[in-house]
Amino acid sequence: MGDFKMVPEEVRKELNRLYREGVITRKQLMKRMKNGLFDHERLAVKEKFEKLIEKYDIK
Amino acid sequence: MSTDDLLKIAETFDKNTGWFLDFLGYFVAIGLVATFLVHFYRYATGQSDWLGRSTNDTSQLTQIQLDSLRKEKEEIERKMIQLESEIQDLVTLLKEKEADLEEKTQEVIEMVHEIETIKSLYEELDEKYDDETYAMSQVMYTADEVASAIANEENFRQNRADIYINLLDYLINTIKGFREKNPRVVIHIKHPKKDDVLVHYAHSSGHSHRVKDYEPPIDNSAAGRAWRTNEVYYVPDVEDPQYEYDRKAHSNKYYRTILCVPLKAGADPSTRIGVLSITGKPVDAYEKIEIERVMLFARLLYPLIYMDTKIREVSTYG
Repeated sequence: MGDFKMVPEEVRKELNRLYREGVITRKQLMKRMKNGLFDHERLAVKEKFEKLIEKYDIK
Repeated sequence: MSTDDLLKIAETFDKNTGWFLDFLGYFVAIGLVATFLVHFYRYATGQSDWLGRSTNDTSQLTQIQLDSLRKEKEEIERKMIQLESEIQDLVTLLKEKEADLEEKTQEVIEMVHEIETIKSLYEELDEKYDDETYAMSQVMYTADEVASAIANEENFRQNRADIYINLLDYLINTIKGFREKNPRVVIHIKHPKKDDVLVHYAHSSGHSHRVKDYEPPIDNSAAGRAWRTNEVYYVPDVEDPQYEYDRKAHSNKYYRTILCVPLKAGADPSTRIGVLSITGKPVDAYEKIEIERVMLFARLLYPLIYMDTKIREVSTYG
């Protein structure tokens, strides 16, 4: 099932605040908010794709 | 036998056969002349050299050599023609191979371009997938906090403004380009006393306190239009007069786009309880997917607002 855990409410509030104040980027907010949630399939496919691309040595 | 004996034999032979010697002398002389003439004739006609050696043997030998050389020449010429033909074939084959190689090279280049395009498309798709899963996480947190608010009514009543700011932040988090779009959300509900305006219920962070004072008219405002029609109303540019928008009330605008989504359950107009509006700084700020996400969050928030305004009949002023 992959490694994920719901981010606690207080941490989510803090992340929202940090994002509003521009301390963290949207990418960082997304990663920390998701914390692997709903993301395991995407990451598995991404890993497969990156292995495939490595075979063709395309940067 | 001595010399004298030989002379005696010759004298005897001369006495007995005088005519024979004469005959022999003439015969030898004629023979010598004939031989000389023949030799001279052959020399003069080139049939022999001055020593009497036949020239026919040499010419015959040269002819054989010439024939042999001619044959060799012909053989060499034949081989040359054959080699030229082979070279021509090889050149043709080489050209074909070069053409094949060029074609294959072109195919490889095209394939590399296709792979790069696929990679680029995958990255675009992955970025959108990443964004979708992130939006799902925000939906989950919203649903979780809506459930907590419904389950813990006392806490909700005490912290309603903060809870809504937090809930609406999840919606804003799903909007791309927060810094550029500066999205702000406000929820209006039916006014308890007036029929021609809506009234403030909740808002997200980023608004001034005056947001609570504004009452969008049912007619001639974007929120009023969504309320009346019970349909999503998207205004890509509030300065465009073709759209219904309350221009008088917003002389100092900080946004050009407004999206208004009715808060309703299904298609039944009687379930309508309010309008969720989100503004965006640039013209045409929101993509279709973002409009759909706002619609999704309007539905997510509906149970909480419904509980708060209809079932428990709490104050509609936030």
